[in-house]
Amino acid sequence: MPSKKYRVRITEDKLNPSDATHFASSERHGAAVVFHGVTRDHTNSRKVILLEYEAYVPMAKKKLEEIAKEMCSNWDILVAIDHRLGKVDIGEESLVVAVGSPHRQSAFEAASYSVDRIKQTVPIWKKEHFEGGEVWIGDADGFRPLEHKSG
Amino acid sequence: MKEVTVLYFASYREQAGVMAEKINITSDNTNLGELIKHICTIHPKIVAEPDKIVAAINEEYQEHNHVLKNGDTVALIPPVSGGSHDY
Repeated sequence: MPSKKYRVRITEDKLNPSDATHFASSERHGAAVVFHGVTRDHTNSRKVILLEYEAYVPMAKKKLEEIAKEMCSNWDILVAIDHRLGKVDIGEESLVVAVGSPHRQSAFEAASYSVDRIKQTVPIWKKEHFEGGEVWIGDADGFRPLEHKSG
Repeated sequence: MKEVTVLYFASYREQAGVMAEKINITSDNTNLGELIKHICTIHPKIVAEPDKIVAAINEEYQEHNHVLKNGDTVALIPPVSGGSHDY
């Protein structure tokens, strides 16, 4: 058993999904679900060249830890959440969430929950560089983090 | 007089042309919403309605009626990609 049930990382390095999976695996946790958020080459019909991520690092880390803790109190799981910053080429991971659980149901549920939560409260922004321009992605009307306080 | 540090990220950083700055507050019970309105007058290029700007104080999201203390770190938080279906 690892000493901690969760691990959170924010890094400019390429993500290593197998390392996250390893953290979330144990003899007790026979089901592992690993989510890879991978940079796509298009948004609607626009051709995307690369994505760039920026974070308020100390707060983003704190919010990711809150989500991981919340997941561990809701389900009997191990969880690793890794988020990439800086420039991310098409086809590379920007987010990896690995969840290990004794049963597959809770692993799927927890993994799905984490991705929704990450997009609600964690101060990490994405800039899309496309042919002919760049734009910060964010939905002003949908961003109400105070309505999504944990607890 | 109180002094707070204001941090700008992503679109707000580019629009304000600054990453961080100190701002003096003269009134004793200035709240977050009043500071945000003041920031928007200093940085008119910030494209957002002051009432709708989300901010954190000392790394926690706060309502606009939250009263500022000397030494607080206020971060203006542009919308994160929440709600978009990019994965």
